[in-house]
Amino acid sequence: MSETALIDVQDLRCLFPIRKGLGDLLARRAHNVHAVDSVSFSMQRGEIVALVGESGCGKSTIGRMLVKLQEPTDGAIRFDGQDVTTLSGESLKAFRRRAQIIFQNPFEAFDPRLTIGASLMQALRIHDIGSKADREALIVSVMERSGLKPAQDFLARYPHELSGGQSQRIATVRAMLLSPDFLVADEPVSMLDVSVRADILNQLLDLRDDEGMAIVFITHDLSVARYVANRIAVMYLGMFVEIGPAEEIIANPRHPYSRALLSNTLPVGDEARTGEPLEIGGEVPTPVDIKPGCRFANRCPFAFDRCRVETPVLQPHGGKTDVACHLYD
Amino acid sequence: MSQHYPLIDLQNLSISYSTPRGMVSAVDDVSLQIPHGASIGLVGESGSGKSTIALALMRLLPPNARVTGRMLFDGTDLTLQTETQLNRGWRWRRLSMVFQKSLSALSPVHRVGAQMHDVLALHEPGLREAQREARIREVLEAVHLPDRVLRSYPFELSGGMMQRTMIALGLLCNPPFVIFDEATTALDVITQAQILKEIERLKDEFDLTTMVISHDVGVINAVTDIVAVLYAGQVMEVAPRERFFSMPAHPYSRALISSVPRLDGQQGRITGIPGSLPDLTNPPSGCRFAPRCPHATPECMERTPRLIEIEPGHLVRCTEFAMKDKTDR
Repeated sequence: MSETALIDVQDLRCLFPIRKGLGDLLARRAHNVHAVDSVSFSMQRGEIVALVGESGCGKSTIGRMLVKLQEPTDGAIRFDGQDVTTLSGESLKAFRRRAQIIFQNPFEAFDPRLTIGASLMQALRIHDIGSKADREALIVSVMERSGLKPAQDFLARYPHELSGGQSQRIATVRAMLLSPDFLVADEPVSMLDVSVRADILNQLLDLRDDEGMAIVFITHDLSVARYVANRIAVMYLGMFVEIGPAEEIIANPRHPYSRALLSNTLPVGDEARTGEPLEIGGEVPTPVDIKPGCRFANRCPFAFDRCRVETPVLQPHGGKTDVACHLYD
Repeated sequence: MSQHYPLIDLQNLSISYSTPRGMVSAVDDVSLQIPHGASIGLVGESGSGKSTIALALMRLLPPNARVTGRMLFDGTDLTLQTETQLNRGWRWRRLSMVFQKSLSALSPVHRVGAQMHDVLALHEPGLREAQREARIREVLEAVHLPDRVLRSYPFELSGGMMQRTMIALGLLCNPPFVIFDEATTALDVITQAQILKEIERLKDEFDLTTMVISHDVGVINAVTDIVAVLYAGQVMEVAPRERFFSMPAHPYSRALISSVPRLDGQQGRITGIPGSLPDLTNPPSGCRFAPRCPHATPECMERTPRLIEIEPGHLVRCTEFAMKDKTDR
């Protein structure tokens, strides 16, 4: 299966050392925040995988590692057969051209002192694409294809003269200029008004369907994940607790945490709910110095002794999704 | 006697800000009634005027705001109260507000307990220290917070605990009316659901009348009885919650609801609302939504439709209904 995969991730880990208080500092003792732990998955071209979870679950850290903005502590990321972690110099530059990222806050995505035109030109100049006239023509054509017409209207403006929706559309355009094969979209719509969210989401769907782009879509909202993604990975405290086809996760969530997330997503109107509702208490703890056992065990209404000592492994257990839960053994 | 009029009665409320570019009409001729014990939801995009209305009620608008119309609270016009009167008898004691950004609403350098004591000392000067302490513990218990919160600084609390602290503060002087301004927007899905459930319970326990402001129709659906849709400072539709979600009448309301991805049903493409809010220094003549409305006619561009009652308690500001209304008579 990983023969044709564009992205193949094996046992990815990312730990952040922290020191708690003066005692630790003097003893040179470090604690570790387990931001991402034992994450493996692969992705094909033309596929959108949504990483879903609450803040602090490690979804953004995975996104950043995938485009080499964050070095993993451990594990391998292969992009089109190449090991991403060892890239440098020219090969890194070539990778940067093929793997792009867009962020949550569109207002911070552009240099406030440059016009939009200048910001977009920069991306093309760094990668030595075409002559000046070629670059301008490319920018105008990509912008107009994304519905930003007439493009000249936007190119002369400064970032503060744009609305949030426009900025995010242009941030996506900038990522597209280099025709990448892979895009990480980190909560691209959560700061936007609902009226413009649909545009950005549809833009991503078009990129997948028309250009065969592979997209990792990071969100905390399961209904948005269902709308854009082919597959959904539900994360809790740095680990995948369940991954599978989007419709399957929504219709038959198996991990108790997936069920909790789903039953706490607010319905719009008289939505019919699938799956048994599940309420859980408490809040997500910080993953410092994690002990063996299931990370969700202390909030899970079904936890039994084994959950507290043995970490469950992500596997199909005879269903359509892979789930990391002892209940299915 | 108080049954004869609603607890909150906004009559022809208009608010404009004077800016270097001219007067910005943020709220235009808004009339809304909130019956005792009811919960009204104000929904709309950013810039629709929902927070301006809340700040006007609290009389917290900046000095460049000009207010006309009346804001009756149990029959008393809040616009006529002096600053001293507001601080002695109104703010906190009869109406309070829970903000979105709780971290910036609390002082970062004082413990939560001290800040709660300050509020009581200022607004209920008759209470002795022990009585204040008892009251504080009572509200903490009501929002399910442990006592250790009192000795904590705001940064030591999680997002959910901080928001609970804000709600506890809002209830401290036992006001009959509380405004929740995007009070759960920054929270995670599960925490949001927990807090909304808590708000529902507190409404009964403290006999509250509430105003809930949100851009999220899911939140509005979860905790309100009456929905008011605002667009560019005007009320476009008012309806009982169930009717609003099953039979939204205004094209803008329908677009707001259908632009949100859902967890049930077939997954067709959703559409956003093209265009953006009009320039409020120079609002368009005619219906303010007409430039973005898929059903707009030349009539819509010329004449501003009135708010018309199409069913008891269901009001719509739309030319289509205005015409029907005329032919019916």
